[in-house]
Amino acid sequence: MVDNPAADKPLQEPGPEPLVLLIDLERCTGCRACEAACKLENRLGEGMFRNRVFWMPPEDSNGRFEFVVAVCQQCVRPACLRACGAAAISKDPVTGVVEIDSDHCTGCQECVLACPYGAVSFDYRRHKAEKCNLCADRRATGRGGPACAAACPGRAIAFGPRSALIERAHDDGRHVRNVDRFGLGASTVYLERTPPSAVRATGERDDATG
Amino acid sequence: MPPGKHRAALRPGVYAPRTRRAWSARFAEDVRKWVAELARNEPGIEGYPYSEIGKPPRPDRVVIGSCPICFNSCPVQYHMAGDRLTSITGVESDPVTRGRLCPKGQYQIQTYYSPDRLTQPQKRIGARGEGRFEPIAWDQALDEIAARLQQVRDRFGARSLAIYTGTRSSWMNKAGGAALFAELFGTPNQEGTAPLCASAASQAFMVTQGFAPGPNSFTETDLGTATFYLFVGDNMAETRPVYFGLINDCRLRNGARLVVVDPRQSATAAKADEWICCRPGTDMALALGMMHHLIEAGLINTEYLQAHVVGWERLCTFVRDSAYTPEWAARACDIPAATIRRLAAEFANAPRAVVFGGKGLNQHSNGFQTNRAFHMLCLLAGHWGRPGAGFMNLNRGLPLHAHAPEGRAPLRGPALRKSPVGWIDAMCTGRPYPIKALISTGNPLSTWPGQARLRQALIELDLVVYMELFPHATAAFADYVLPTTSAVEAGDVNRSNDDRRVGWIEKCIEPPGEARSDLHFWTELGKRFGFDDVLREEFKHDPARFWDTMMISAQGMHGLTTERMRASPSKWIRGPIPEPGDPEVETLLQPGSVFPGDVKGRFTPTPSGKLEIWTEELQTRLAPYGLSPLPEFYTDRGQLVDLPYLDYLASDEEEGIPSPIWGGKALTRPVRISTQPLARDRAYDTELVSGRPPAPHFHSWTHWLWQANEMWPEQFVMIHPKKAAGLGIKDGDAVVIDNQHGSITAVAWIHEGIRESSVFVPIGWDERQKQHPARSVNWLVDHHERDPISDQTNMKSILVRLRRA
Repeated sequence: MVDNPAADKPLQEPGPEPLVLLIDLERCTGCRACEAACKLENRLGEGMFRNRVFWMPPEDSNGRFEFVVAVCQQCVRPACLRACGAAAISKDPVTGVVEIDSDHCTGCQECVLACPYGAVSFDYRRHKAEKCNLCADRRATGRGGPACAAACPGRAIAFGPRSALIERAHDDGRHVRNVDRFGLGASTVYLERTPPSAVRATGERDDATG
Repeated sequence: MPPGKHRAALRPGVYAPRTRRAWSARFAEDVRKWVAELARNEPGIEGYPYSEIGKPPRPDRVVIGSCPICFNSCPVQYHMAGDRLTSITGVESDPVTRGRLCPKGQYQIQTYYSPDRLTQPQKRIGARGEGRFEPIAWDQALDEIAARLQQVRDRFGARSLAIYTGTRSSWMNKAGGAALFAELFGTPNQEGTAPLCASAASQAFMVTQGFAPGPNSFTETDLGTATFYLFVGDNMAETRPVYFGLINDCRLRNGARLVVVDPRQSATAAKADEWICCRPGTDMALALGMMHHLIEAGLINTEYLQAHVVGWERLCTFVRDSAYTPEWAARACDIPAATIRRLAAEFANAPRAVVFGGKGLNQHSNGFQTNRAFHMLCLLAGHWGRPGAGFMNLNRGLPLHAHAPEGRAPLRGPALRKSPVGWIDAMCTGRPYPIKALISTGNPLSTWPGQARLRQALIELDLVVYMELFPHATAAFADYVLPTTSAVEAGDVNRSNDDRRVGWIEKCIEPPGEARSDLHFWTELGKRFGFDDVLREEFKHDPARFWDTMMISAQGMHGLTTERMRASPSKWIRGPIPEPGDPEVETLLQPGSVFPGDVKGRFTPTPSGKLEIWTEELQTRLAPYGLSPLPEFYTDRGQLVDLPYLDYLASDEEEGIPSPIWGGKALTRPVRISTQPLARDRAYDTELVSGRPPAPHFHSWTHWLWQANEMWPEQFVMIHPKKAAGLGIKDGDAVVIDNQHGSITAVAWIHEGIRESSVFVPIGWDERQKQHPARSVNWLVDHHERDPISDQTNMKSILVRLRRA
């Protein structure tokens, strides 16, 4: 039997400055460069994901696409961590990063099914669960933040301390979407789209509406 | 389990969840269902080269070059560990891309370690189309090809050899090795993809401003400063994602407005402040209606016009006399007149406005005039040649071209047609003269219109040579299949791009097996005809020398040396650069400037030295086609309503007339604009629009990379829910689309963001692709319906019908 100390311990509260991704829904163009960057950096094959882009046609928008990057929310109370019987998943007390220890992962896929954000996938080659750790290796080797944020053509993904990212977004007059529908303390920040830019005041003329 | 079963879960319509609730509990349920479905499927899972490497070795060096795939031409870092390429990332210090890369730019690494690469020359042993081959040595293959080419030349003349260079080729192949071989061999029938893609854009620019690339740059200080962006038929977010990232970022920071006109609510339109849905092929009417409003409302910039433009008064009279009112335009392009007026006023009143045109303008029988009509709109408003103001439309770009020394090449006469699809009938019938051999460094059996006829044509030929990275559909019809290299396996330049940037790509890795560069092939083949005084032996392994000695001889290009490219931080420089020491110019044609390197000291290198709308000379050049410099409206024949269209006064089996816009170097068919209602078969009740698929794909190339297949697996057809309901088609159904020319199958993607009477099918699939084979949409495209001037085929306004398979 495998010990699961995490199941008995109270959940760790995140440190003062958890590191997160910020995804700007106004800038995302659905191109999937973040998926490519992630798989290249983390050597993931077909069917394995740490992030995925969904093209969603929302209601009442005349068919306008909305693109959503589905990625680990680095939850305050991670469902995956709770589901893991092998104590292979931990949450870093300082950075808040939720990480799978491959050496301890038994490949049972309970975490894959537990995550309501679809953010855990499975590596069939090694029989291990796969999820985003905000590019731990890149951060540890001084190669910057996560690969997805560096590659994003739309400049839609930012990385940093959560409060600073939110503060900057508010300064830009942007609103944060609440995606914490499951009570897990989802930490990834999603910025709502902006209202359409109207005709510039400097450009208005009396005949402008024909 | 059949391979690909688990992939069926990733059809576009499913991958994009069908639920209408944005990321709700339902979304999570769906995701969980798919994840479970994926988990049930056993591997057979592709992962090269990632799986092979496992934890990648730490790179020991980084080589900066350019991505060779698409027209965004992003600078990249090739991370090397020993002789192995381990990763590809962007160049963060680059002022244009800021280190950003689209998906294909990153997984291009899968090209270099793909088990499906061609690695050995092969010779056909079965029937054409059967795809049976045996290995052959390079030298033997080249000897045999040369002998058979000699026979063709002896019997039918040099011009019966046609050479086509496909989308994977850089300047160095299409305007370098292939162009020199064609010149020396004596055939005028050598062409790249431009007449399928953007020759309407380049020739329109040539007429208006005397050079092909757009005058502005993708910088925060030029295109980034516009206050109004109008995209017409340009889906930049999916076709040049990194450029769009820059534009969209600037738009948001500057509060600029972005309007997209397209029959489809593309990813670009999804980011816009306003999407205006139009009838395919009628953008010229929109431009005319907008011009009419500008003229009537006194919104034209007379000061700019008087200083820099010729023929604008005549244009104003023409537009007014022709009564191209917004109400008239509304009927043609199916956009309300009030919207056209408002759009015109917003555009003219904007301090700085940019129009981005694209294939939606080019790929029609009116492509040349439509491009020009938007030029005229911009000129009337004075939005040209200023930072943040102008018209941009990607095309062949800078004049980088190799030519044989004077007197060395035989006289060639004009090309049969400017477009390679204009060769198809001659291949089949021998009229007006026979085309008997084809050397293709691309995949016509996906790319060219007239697919059914093209297959007959290839069977008729005496010799078909195919040189590519992967065994696309064309390979099966070839007598010789030759393995080629990509840029990092040989050394090359980037693609032509919107931004006038030319970048050098160092050779980083060895080619797989016996693959050799295109330049190597042309040099070796040339040697067998005694062309080695021009196609010199040393070029085979030294593409940089070839570039510096052969490719930059045109006026204004002498400074674009490999030395200068290599010395720049991102390994690219922006042309024109007349001499090595000259500066790069961010925005060309600024008032009061002289065009770089122009020996006559002109503002712009046109005959008049001004931007040209109408001149006596232009009138003389366009009259032989049956057209005028003044943009008389017509559209494609494939319309559901009666609109003016072209009658062709000669067929492709007749000689036609020399095409003045191409300097008489190609023949074309004269036309007459007709307003007689066309007899049309009412069964074909749907407007088919073809176009580039989303960002993960680029033509044939990416269909052999597992990750592109994972992202966008199957050929899809986007259908409006109302149309789908009427036909009993549900999301994910297989749909048969057909017309008089052929029939294809695609997976239905039901989506509100498309004109109700239109459907969209992406290009790039073919029936021999490994993972998701499908007949290309070009089976439905008539190769005869072409713009007489640019010779571009109408690929975006085609009548078809649909049914559930």
